[in-house]
Amino acid sequence: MSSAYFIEILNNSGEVQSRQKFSSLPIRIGRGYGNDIILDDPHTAAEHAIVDNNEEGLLIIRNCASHNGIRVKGQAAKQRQDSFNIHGDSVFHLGHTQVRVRTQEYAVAPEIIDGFNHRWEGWPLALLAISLIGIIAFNNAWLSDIENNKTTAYIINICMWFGYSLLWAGIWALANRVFGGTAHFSRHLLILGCGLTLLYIWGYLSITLAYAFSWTLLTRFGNHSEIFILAIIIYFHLRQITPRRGKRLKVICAALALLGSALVLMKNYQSSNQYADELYMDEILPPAVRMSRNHSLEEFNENISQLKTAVDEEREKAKKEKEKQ
Amino acid sequence: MKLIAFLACLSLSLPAIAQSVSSSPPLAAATQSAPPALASSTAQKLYAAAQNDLLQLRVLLKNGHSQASVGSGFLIGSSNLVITNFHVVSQIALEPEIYFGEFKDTQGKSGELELLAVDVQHDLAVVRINRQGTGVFNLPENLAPLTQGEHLYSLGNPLDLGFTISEGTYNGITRRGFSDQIMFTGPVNSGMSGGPNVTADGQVAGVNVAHRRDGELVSFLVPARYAQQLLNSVIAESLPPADFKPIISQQLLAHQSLMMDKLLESPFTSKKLGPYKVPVRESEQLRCWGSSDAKADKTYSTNQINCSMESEIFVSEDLQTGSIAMHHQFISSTKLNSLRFSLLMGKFFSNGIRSNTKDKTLTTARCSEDFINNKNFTTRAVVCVEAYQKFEGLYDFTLMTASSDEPLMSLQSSLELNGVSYENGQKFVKEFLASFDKERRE
Repeated sequence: MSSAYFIEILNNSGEVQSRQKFSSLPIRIGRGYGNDIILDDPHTAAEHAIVDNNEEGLLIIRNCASHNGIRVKGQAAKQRQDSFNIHGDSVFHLGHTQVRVRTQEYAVAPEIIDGFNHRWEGWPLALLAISLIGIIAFNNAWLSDIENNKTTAYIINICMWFGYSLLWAGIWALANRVFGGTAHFSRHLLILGCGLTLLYIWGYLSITLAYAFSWTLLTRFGNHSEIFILAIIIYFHLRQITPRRGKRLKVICAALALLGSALVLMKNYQSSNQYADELYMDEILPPAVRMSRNHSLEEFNENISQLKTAVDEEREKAKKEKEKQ
Repeated sequence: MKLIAFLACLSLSLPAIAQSVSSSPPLAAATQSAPPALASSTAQKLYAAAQNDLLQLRVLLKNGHSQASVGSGFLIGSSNLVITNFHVVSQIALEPEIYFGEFKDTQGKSGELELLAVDVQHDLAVVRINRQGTGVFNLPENLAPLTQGEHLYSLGNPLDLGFTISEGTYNGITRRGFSDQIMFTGPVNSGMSGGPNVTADGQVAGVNVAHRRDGELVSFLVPARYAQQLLNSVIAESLPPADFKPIISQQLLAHQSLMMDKLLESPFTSKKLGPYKVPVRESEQLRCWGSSDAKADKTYSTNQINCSMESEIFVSEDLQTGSIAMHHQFISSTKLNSLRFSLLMGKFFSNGIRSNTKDKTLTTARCSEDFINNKNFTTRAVVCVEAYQKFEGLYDFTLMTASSDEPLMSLQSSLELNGVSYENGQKFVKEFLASFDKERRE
């Protein structure tokens, strides 16, 4: 015998919408005004269910006079059953309403360690994010300032960066508010700021390495590293929304990155018959950056000789493709 | 001044009508000012004699029998052989499974035609029909020489409007291509391609082939002796070749060999751009133009030398070949720093090779790139090569270089070789690269 019973009405996501305490049994549930709990669900009967002890003293929920009856969530309604034993975790469907019954003795789950860093919140964070984005935006505007741009061009360029950043962070914050309860706008802005910084640093680093050592693959397949960084950014955004599903998110983001890479390869092949983003490395950096040695004209000429095999292979390939058609 | 060279081939296909209409000079009628009475009667006599052997040639789609392109042609002597331009019948030569040919005479009678021989270098072809000529147009062994200012008459069917004769003058031989062409100052329009051009006494002087869209009445003829040579190679009753592609390959290879030998017979001319010395080849065929852009409100200035050919070999609508172009651009800046300048140079360097799209005539480009030492300066060099899908042994070469020894100045050069053998392409690239130089600082 328990001293207190709790009837909880849940929503579809399993969250408690209302909770009522009763100190004695039976508890009547239904649409009628004679019940202890009144449901506003047209799919329930006036007297739908009753919570009581049975002959053996076990707590049960019993169908009264309802046509739709009672169903346990997650179980197929095989046979019509009029009464169910109540465990603290089972959820019952009464019409479209979900009901859970718990007693005072119900053992709740252990406390979750608070991994949420409460200091990483608010204006300082947003300020940091804005300054990161601002630096990138200014750098970008400065580099593209080739035709003697005026200050207005800088302002427009930087404002566009801020506009798009706020939009991006805003969309994530909205998703966070809907699915995670709170918006965490400044955190999403910081994730974007850090991600863009990473993207920029990697961009410069890869071009520098590619030019310095003539590692042309770094830039000819540069899109793939950018997609990888984008997947990391998305991972952190998602992680912010559902902090407890880290592993699954990692798999999802890795799959997204692979899909993105595959799409880029397909698109390149579709438009240019080859997988690289560009035919040759077109980036140029100051002469001081170059590290690789000079090749002589003879070596270059030798490379052109070797190129013939590859070109003739392309011709054979094209020929075969034509024959297939 | 910049000359926008544009040679229009004169076979007529639908898009060509639109172009020729839009580019036809409004004063075309006025420029053909009233000819003297004598010339007019000559034209009358010539047309009266020629009309029996003058033909319109049409290329039609096997599927649907609609015409794909039209041109003109003429019967030789009393044979059943017709001379026309290669570009009029190129579709029959290259895609006989899709196209076939038909002729139509001045009386409106029509019949089938059979392609016997082609000469892509001079843009000529011989076709056979089931009718004999009346002996008006002859190509004797010894052709009488022409004199400048002599009246010439072009016959054909311009713009598919009907058979016409137009009068003009002989103005010598132009050597802008690698084979001679007669410069004819008179109207020659699309559709007259392959038609005969005769002197006042009825001797064949040449075959209508092209006109300059940027000029007035600047037209070109293939000299009659090339038609004679091609005709001599044809045995009247022989079967036509099963596949023209190997023949065309051979002719293109022969042409590129001639072209490359001529262009490489002497060392390149050296021109100064900033501290750099760049190679150019100035000749009858390869014309160079310079330009400069140094406005005060710009952060950088450029100086350019562009050399290109005004003639190409027509193979098909998608493939004009046998040409080379070279381009040098010297860019310098005092207002930018080295990082921004080099990023700008990257933009200049980025869209040099166009053939990055799926192409039916060329294979995908394959490239080789490196830093190379060019006498006393370093350049980043890229060579891309594409093979011709239909013609074995022919390639397009593109070379691009960007100097990388000065932080605030850059020399970017490019070289395009279209329709050359691998050996010749490689040789030209090598000699071109070896001809760069830079002044040492004192």
